[in-house]
Amino acid sequence: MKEVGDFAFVTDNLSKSYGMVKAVNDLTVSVSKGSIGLLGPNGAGKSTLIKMLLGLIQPTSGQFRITKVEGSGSYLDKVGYMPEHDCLPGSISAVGLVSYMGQLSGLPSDVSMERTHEILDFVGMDESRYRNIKSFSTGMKQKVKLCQAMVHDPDLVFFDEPTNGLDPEGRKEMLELIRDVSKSGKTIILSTHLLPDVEYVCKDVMIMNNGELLLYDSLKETLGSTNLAVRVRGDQERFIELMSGRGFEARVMGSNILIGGNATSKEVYEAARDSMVQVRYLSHHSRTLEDLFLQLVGDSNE
Amino acid sequence: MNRFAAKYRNWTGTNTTFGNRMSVFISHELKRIIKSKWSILVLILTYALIVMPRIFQAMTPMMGFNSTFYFSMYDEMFLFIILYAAVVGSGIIASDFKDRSIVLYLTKGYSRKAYILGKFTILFLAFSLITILPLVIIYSIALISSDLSLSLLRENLWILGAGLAMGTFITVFLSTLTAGLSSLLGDRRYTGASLFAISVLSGIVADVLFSINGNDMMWMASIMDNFSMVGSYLFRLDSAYSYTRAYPFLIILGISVSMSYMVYHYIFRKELRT
Repeated sequence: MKEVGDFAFVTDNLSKSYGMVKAVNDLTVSVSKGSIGLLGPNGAGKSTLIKMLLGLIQPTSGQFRITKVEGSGSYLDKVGYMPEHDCLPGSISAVGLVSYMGQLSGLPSDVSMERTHEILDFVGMDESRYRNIKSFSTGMKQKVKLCQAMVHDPDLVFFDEPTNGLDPEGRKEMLELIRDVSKSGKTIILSTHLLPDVEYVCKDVMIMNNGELLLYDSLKETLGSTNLAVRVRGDQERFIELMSGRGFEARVMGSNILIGGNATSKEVYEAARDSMVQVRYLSHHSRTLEDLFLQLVGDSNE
Repeated sequence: MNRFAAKYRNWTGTNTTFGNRMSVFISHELKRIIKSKWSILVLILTYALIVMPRIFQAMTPMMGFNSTFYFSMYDEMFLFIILYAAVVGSGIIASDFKDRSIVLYLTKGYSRKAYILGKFTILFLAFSLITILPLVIIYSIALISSDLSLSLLRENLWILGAGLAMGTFITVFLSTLTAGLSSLLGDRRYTGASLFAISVLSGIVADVLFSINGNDMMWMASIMDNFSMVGSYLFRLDSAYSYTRAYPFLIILGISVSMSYMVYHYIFRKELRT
């Protein structure tokens, strides 16, 4: 197994099974520090992976490693977690809870209170911080969840579906907060099934489906290549075969054929001539995260 | 407030020790549970109806150095102790499962062992207010009322020891039973009701069984009678039953061990309901 070193975490054949179902299947990956979007459809294994890394559930097999801070008792001392579901006790104020969580994470009492107010200022919570959490709206609860995850200044933070249940304005605000946290030098893992959230916040992307890792790469690199979108009249299958035979990735998406591998229009026209089809439409098409996601997930489901 | 006025700031410093975090956890939870109005009400009732009259009695010379005096106090207090346990301790683990805040504790570098140990300590300290503190208060008053005689203290120190052992035994039993039921049932109302039902119903069941076959070993089905038997042994009193006094002790110990395993199972073995 690789040393953690400069990585945020490293896993080695990490698996988790529930009976016959493999929630995470032999996952081996070394995740670099930075902002990473963890994408996947429901049931892909994202939350299971996070819960294993947090020690909430035990792996069936394999192992993982997260950097441990020297002198601290547990690696979790420098890890933060914002859970997806509601997890806040209602009969305590936001200040009380966040400060308490800070102290449990190892902050001295006075430091914890100071940081609690700082982080509540950071998320923009006003005097309502002194009210009991049970009177809070979903947006405010999400902010408190973020605060309790950040109060002890972790190096690695897991955000599990942080924009769930938020209105568009609240969602934008939450994403900006997460982006600001990322800019402060923290490694963030943003688990979501909302692709625009990842595009807005993250530099790298991990895509999972059926417990397996389909992709882990830089978002810029992945989406950087430009495709051509083509519509033809005639034997479409033959055209695709020919383009593939010439080393270009060609596949049908909707009514278009997307051609990757930096093919030029000249090469498309040549292939059209050779396959006896007529080009009716040709344009540049930048690959979106949605294209990539649908392609990878679709392929893995086949 | 405009959040953009505030920037995220990093923190560098040394983390506190495990012991410090444990004391934060215990004091925070302890304050929360004993400050509830029901907890205060049961405490006031118990002290007003049972402890205060005994405090006045203990002011009579020599009265406070009689083992029957303390034995009967525990006998009378038993239902109040159960009521207090139901009111104060029933949500100790169930509430964390119900509002799912257990996830917050277990992702904070605060280990499961520490969580369980902390919860048991909280219950032990909370229950001590009704199981051990009255004994200490009454014994101290009896001692003061007897002009702090050292020879009297030397002769009767065993009564204090027996009382402390009895109080500790009840407290440990109730702490494990409450924590076990709380993690098993995951709901504070059911836990409270079960605690009360187990204590009261076990007495009724024992009574019915005894009336059917007349064998006084049937009283071993009653939690209260088992404690009574253990108490009579500790306070050096005659047993009201014919069987050996080791059995009730073993029954209570068995229940405590089973309940401790229940907590271990739900926190360590079973997948957490997160």
